[in-house]
Amino acid sequence: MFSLKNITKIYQRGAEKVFALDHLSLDIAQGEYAGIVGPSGSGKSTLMNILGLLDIPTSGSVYIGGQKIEDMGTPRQTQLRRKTIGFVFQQFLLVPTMTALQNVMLPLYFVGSPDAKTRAMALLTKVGLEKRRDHLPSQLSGGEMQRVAIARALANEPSVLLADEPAGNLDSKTASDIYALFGEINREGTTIIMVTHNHELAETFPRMISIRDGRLERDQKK
Amino acid sequence: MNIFTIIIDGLRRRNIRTALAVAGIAIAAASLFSLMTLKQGYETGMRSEIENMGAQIIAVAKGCPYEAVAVIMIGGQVPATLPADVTKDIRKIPNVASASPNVYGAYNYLNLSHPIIGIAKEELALKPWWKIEGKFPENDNEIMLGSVEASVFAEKSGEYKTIGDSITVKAGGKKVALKVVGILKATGSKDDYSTYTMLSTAQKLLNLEGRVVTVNVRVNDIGRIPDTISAIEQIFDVQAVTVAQVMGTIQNLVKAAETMLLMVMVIALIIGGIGTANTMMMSVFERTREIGLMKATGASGRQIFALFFTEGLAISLIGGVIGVVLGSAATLGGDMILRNIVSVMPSSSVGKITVDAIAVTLLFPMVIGVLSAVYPAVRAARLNPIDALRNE
Repeated sequence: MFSLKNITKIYQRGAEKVFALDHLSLDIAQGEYAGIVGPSGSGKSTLMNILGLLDIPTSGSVYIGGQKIEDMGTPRQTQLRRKTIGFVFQQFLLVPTMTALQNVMLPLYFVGSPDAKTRAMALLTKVGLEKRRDHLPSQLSGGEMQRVAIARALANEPSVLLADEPAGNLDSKTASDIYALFGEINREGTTIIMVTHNHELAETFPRMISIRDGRLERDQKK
Repeated sequence: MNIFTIIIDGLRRRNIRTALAVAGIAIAAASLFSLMTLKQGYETGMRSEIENMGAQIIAVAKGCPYEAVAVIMIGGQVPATLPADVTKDIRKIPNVASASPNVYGAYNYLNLSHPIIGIAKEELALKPWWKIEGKFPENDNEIMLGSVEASVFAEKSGEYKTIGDSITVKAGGKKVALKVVGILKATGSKDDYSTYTMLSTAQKLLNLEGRVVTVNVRVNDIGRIPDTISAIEQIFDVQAVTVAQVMGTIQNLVKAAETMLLMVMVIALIIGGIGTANTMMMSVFERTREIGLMKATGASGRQIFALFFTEGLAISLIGGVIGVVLGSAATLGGDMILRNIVSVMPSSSVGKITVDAIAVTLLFPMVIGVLSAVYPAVRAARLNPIDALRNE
């Protein structure tokens, strides 16, 4: 699925060069459920951005499904991102003036899907929010908002979900419901890669990847 | 869901700012619209007015010929006159098809001044569109009334009811009874407000025996009008102007005022455009994270561009449409206002709403809208999704 070869990402902070990622190599297979852990500033988010084709590495190569990303033009990268990757963010990032249903329909609009409404409705049902379809985000609880965001991430049937601290803003009860939902989605075949601060939780994942100072510290599979 | 759902959502979120941007464009577009329609109406009005005079060249006594023609058009006494023999001299000039003498003046009736025009019978041939009820005067002290004058007199005078009745007027310091023998049916021009007599009657009434005020000339070959004019001006004390010259002078005056106004309009529209650009920029800044999110969920740069560009265009288009509506109202009202401040006005309404004006009024804000929406839209399209998502 994903193959990272010798990835380095350097940020310029004033005169100082910061190695966000330092010669990191990593393979993630289709259908895996992997947690990425590490302290703040370890390079977790940079890794997620590179996996999500939102950022390009300073050196090294990224392969998705055997295709080398740097050889693609931007339009093909956009297409690949659409088809392959769904994002879930810590702050949910729902459009505040659109209903739950419209938020889920948004990615479908960008691909021009003809049965967007039916599909979005099915996804809302899947995350248990079919009765909330016409609610605005401000009328939903945190857990509900994240469910809408997950439904939105699944809209284009991606092969992988990239989740950045998806339960970071939720209480522990709601958080475990969200993790359960991810588990369910994974069992249906979708790869899940989740950044988290919660080491304990990550220990329960089939695979745990620790990052420190931009390098792979530990890669443990059950 | 389609692009418009997203755009309307974006515009609604900034109700007041959107409304202000739309208002800026609308006001500028409305001014442009009414200026254009009033100008076109004025021009076509003046043209038909002058064509109604039926002459291509007007010979008058030396002085300011434009003043003379303007006075004739609004009715009144022209200070200088020509000897009646001038008409015969003009007829001898090659290329002159017809030359008909006119006397203009005014008489007093019901304590108001009314224009009176003495014309030679052959002039009727120059106005084939005239429809006369009764007949044109054939004897001394017979008159024909314009349709408006006829109905006003019938209502107010007491002594005049219909053709055959007489009115007692004051002219040239004397009291005279004039018999109405005809009524000129409505023409929609100045003619409806005038009284007509034989040339000799008008000369007597106005104490202008043996004199004429103008000689209206038609030519055979329009291309030789300059030669004909110089030939006419060989006659002592006579000068000639073409109808085109008179109209040109009036139009130049109108044009000068109009150019200044037009500059103001264009500046107003540009300011409206800057307002739109500002609204759009704010929209892009405020929605930075949303743009990042859209990109992360698969929106291409082109789609983001289309979204914001259409939003800017929508503001301009709505502004343009409101501008046409407001402008139409201003045009109809402007006709009445102009009538009170401009002395030389065609008698038909100048407020004519044309397709051209609507097209320009919609198109110009669109161009401004395109120009002002491009930069914010490009900026939105080029946003780096990571920076956008990080934005708090």
